[in-house]
Amino acid sequence: MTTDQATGLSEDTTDIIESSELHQLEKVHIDDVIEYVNDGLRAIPTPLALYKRYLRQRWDVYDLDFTQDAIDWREKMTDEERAVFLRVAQGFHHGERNVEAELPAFMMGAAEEDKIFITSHMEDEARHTIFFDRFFREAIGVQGDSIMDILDASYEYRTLPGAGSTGLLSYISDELVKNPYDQKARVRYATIYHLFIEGVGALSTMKITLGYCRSRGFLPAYYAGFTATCRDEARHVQYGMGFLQESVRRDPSLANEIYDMLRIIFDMNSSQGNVLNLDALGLSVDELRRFNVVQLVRKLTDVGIPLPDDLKATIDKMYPEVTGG
Amino acid sequence: MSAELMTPEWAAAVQQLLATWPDEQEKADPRKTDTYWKYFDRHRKSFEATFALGVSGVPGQDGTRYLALTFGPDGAGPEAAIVTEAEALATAKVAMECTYQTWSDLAGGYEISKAMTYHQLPLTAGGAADLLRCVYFVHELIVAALRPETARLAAAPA
Repeated sequence: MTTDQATGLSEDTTDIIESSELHQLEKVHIDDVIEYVNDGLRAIPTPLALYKRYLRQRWDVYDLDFTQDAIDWREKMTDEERAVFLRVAQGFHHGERNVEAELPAFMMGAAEEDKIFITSHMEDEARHTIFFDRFFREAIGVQGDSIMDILDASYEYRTLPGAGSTGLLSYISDELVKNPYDQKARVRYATIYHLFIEGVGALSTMKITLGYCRSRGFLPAYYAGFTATCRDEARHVQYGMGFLQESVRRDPSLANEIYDMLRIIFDMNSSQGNVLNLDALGLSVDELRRFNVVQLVRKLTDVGIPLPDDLKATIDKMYPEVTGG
Repeated sequence: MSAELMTPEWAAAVQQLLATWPDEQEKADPRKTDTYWKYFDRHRKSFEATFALGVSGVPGQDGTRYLALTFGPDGAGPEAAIVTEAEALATAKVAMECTYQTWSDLAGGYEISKAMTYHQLPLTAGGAADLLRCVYFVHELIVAALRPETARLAAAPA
């Protein structure tokens, strides 16, 4: 199936995604996992229901074996494929780290049930950071003594001139540290992070690299670990859309904060003329842009607000941001 | 010899650079495309306010001095001045501050985007949305402000 239409998943497919162990996720199609993210939004689970799901789905990042990935990377992938893959993967590597570091600010002003879930979300992000650390070290061969050494090394593959949306999350976090109960700031945080970075950008990155791995039969540990990551992201996105939905329901004027952040993000993205040529991984930029638009509209529908005309008019100029977290 | 950091001479050098920004050196950066510079020009024309950049702990200087860059209508200027922290926070639409260590690292090639991500260039005036609304414009102001310092450090005896 494709993720361009909201077709929904069969019960059998949902059960497989829900209950698969890490090694079984090699067999799951990434498009189905992306659909699983959206499928769960029809009736958004409570924070404690998502926490229980976390306990069932938690996986051990040290169970992965990157031996075959290292062989594929060295011997089977072309120079062009490696170059594009690195640029995409570094965006996620840093995105995971940044969210792991910035989530505590969002948690401070949350309800107690929400705090329980957000602690599991933070642990997910730390595990995802380790996943990329291991991928860069063991599959690609990047060397370093510390986690920051590997982050610095992967940063070299970055092509944007300035901080992207996950980096700039630090400024929203600073606002929340000063005033954890500022509801507008919390909505801005959830818009840039839960809605855009995770609900739109991360799914795009997953589609690019996992679609490539699946079609070529390469990088099995990356595929299994990143598919498990995508399943984790489903809980995060569903929590975030639930937060935004409830925030707007209580105070409809907060929809303006969501729209304002989206206008800022679109404007930032429209400056990013340095677009990745994704052809080597089997996906065109136009395809990715269409995918981004579909994901964005679906998230706003879940929140319960329409896409305003001025955003509709600019959305096609948006460059797909390779990010995640 | 290049001017010392946070002095009127240094501010004048930054003002002169920004009068014709981007210069050839910056235009040559392959990461900065036409659409990036269009964003810079668009936000420069609409900013019409003061951006202030402070550096704390500069050797030989008491307190934290700020470089205040004030843009007029349609991107005119900027007028550059060295002001006190209190003056900067009272007048700037957006102000940021870093330590002298971070500033030196930036002048030595450390990425501005990393400093932003790792809380090494926090906002001291204005909200996060104010910054994000024009973030790549601000990014370029910092690039320009670093240029004389990079030259000064490069010329300094080891």
